[in-house]
Amino acid sequence: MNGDLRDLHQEILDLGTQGMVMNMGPQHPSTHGVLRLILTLDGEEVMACEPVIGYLHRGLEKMAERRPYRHFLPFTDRLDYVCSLANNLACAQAIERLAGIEVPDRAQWIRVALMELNRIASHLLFLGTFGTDLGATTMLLYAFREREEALALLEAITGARLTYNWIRVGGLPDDMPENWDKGVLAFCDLLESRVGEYDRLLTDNPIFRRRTEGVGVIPAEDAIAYGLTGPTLRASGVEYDVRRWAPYEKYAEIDFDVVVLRDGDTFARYLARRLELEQSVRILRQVFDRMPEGPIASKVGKVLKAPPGIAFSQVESPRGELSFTMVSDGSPNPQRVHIRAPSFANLTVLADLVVGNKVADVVAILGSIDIVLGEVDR
Amino acid sequence: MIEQALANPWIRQLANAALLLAVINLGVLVLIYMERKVAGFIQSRLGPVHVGPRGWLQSVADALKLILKEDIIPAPADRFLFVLAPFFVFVPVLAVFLVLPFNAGWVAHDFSLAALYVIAAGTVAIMGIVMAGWGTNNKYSLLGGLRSAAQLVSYEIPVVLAILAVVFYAQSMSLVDIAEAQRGFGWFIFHPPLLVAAFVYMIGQLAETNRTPFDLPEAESELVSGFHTEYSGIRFAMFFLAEFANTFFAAALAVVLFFGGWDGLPGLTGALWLVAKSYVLVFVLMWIRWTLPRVRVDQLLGFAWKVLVPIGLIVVLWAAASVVYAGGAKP
Amino acid sequence: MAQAELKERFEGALGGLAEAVEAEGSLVRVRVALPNLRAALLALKTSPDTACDFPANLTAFDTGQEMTLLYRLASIPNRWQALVSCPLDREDPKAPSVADLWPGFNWFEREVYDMFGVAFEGHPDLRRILLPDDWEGFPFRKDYVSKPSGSPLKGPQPTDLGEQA
Repeated sequence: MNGDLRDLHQEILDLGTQGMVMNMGPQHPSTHGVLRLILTLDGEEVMACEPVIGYLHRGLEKMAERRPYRHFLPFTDRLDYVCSLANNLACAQAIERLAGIEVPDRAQWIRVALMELNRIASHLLFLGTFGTDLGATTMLLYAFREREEALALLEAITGARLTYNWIRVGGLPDDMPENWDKGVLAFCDLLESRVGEYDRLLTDNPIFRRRTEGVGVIPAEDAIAYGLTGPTLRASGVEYDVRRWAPYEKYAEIDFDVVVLRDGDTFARYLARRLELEQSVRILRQVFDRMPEGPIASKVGKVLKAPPGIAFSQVESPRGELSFTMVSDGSPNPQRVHIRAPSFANLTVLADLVVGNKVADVVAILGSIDIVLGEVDR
Repeated sequence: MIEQALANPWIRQLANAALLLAVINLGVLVLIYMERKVAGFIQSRLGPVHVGPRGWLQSVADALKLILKEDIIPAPADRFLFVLAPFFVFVPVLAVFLVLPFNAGWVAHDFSLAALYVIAAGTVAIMGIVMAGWGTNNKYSLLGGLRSAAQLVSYEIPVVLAILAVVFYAQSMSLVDIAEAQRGFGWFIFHPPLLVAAFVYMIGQLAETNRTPFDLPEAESELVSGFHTEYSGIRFAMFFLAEFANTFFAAALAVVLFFGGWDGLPGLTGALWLVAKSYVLVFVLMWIRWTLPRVRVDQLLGFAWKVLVPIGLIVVLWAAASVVYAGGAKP
Repeated sequence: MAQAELKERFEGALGGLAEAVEAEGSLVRVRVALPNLRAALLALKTSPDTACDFPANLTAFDTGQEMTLLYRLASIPNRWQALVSCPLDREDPKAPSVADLWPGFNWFEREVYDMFGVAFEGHPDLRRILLPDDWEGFPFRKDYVSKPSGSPLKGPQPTDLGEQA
């Protein structure tokens, strides 16, 4: 991937030629948070790129070691703050696997609904910000119009719009409000009628196509070697979706397509997310048809202790595979919690990917990888 | 008394300039309001609503805010260039309005090389942008300034070629003569070569006025506003004012060149027709701005040199041929 | 696939490199001694029997007595994954780098170095990644005394890079 170009540029730099070193970030409108890229430029062309992270590091994993298992759940909201329910779920799931706690069927189905609704909200945010990165500011407003509806539905059930903290070890804190399912199904219809607008505005726009097609191509073997996950990996033609690969909750019983595209370029990464919207709608429609009656949480003791051992969860967050690894020594506090953040892994590819591209492409490529810095820095 | 004073050519010109300045500034305030409202409705939101009825006074409030703001000059900046740059951008934009005919006889100063003057004066603004980019001593601004220089120089050519085609038809470089030649709905846009020229002109002007999809020098999401990143307060207001005045001028010039100038249905005064037609064109520019993404710098320059310039050259030859062999617009 | 067969595949691929192999669903837990670590990971990646070429995760944990590296490698088409654990010398933690086998592990190794002070030998660019460059100590070791240090704003400076170039 860009190997020859990278070598060429390194050779030029080794000769003693100085490029212009430009700091992109940590304060920059298109780095999606406090990411800093140290770019070495030759005119508009990028010769070298060094991402610097850690500006948002809060030591969440260390905090987890100092408190009982369940007390860490609210902290996970602050990881990927665009899709905090996925973090809640990954954390709860790791604890459930470590302590061997079962989750009732109804809670599992509601969890699936929450996941997909939050995925839609996250992908809509991506569509909007990606459009803005490329100068199509109107897309942001269109995407936020629908995202607002999704957030309102999540607010109706969780009471919050961004940091939900709604998944508990062993289930959920409360059942769905009355008629919530009708609201979600109405939202599904609304979203389906609106995605055509996104296509007309952005997907089919020739300028947008020329800005994204063939830019920042990641071949499948590189995508695997870099440990990419989520739509970023699937856009390169690798079929890896944790919902299908290692099904959790009720995903094994649900009929949906894993969106896999071939090209591996910026456009494919955009399109993968755009197409996943429709798959999420498809999943949501099935959830309420099959929702059983029953309890929404299993009984968990006041003091949660897990037998010594290692367990990890795997959740398909909108950005990729989110995994909490928990090590227990039998005490009420975990001995170690590690968060495998999909954005962190996906960001590793950026430095090699942007070399040889223009400054404007750095913004497009970074946007298409769709990182959330809260998760990268933890 | 006033008539006596106006008989003096100096005072007369000064009065014209003052009147023009007032018209431009008022027009720009209206344009900014219009831009916000148009953007609002395109983006399915309301735009300004709070200051004044329907947000009418929002632009005024913003202008006041900008004037009252602290004037900041960054320490590493080249003070001389930094201070001078806004004037280099602002003054040429005002200067080109001098030759714009609003109605029969309503022109501050008409002369036989007006079309050439418009092109020449407009080019000076590039200097200002490069000065701002360099003088700020900021790498984003420098990139913005360089992009801007490349872009404006490239797109100047198709614009000139399009104007040249019109000049062939009108057989004059005076904007007044060009507008006069189109009276009675003999608009140049109805002639096939000039229809193409009008497209070339509008695309070129879109780039000249730094508007999306050609807003690379400013590129909010890449260069953080490019050449005017470090400008604030009144100096920023000058860039801002110049941009909108330029947009209006580009549209008004298009009306004079292709859409019959002040020609319209009888009953309304010609100036109103000119302004109305200009606003329609400005609306089209805004519509494009709020719909399209931004192109990349290599695509931008490639489009100018590989597409627009060849088309412009063909249009010039085509227009010349149709004037010589088919009689063109005039007998 | 039966768990016994899965276990056999992994044992076959690893030869004598592993100390223990256990299969549990589609997850194979492998324990490796430090001298065999790189060879074992390479075998898991390249052997057609295991084909674990996807670098899913790398982390470490410290119990106070023992420090352990945890690698998770997956084989996407075969739907199985391996959790490789490797105990380290706690006094002088060192491990061979696998950033050349999987560029995706480059940052993960930097993170483990940042938090535990594990020196990955052969890593192209072993620097702190999340903590400030001048942070003292390795906070995830159990004997670490929590004390903020380092300046939150310090990172690689453009001037340093200019000199490198």
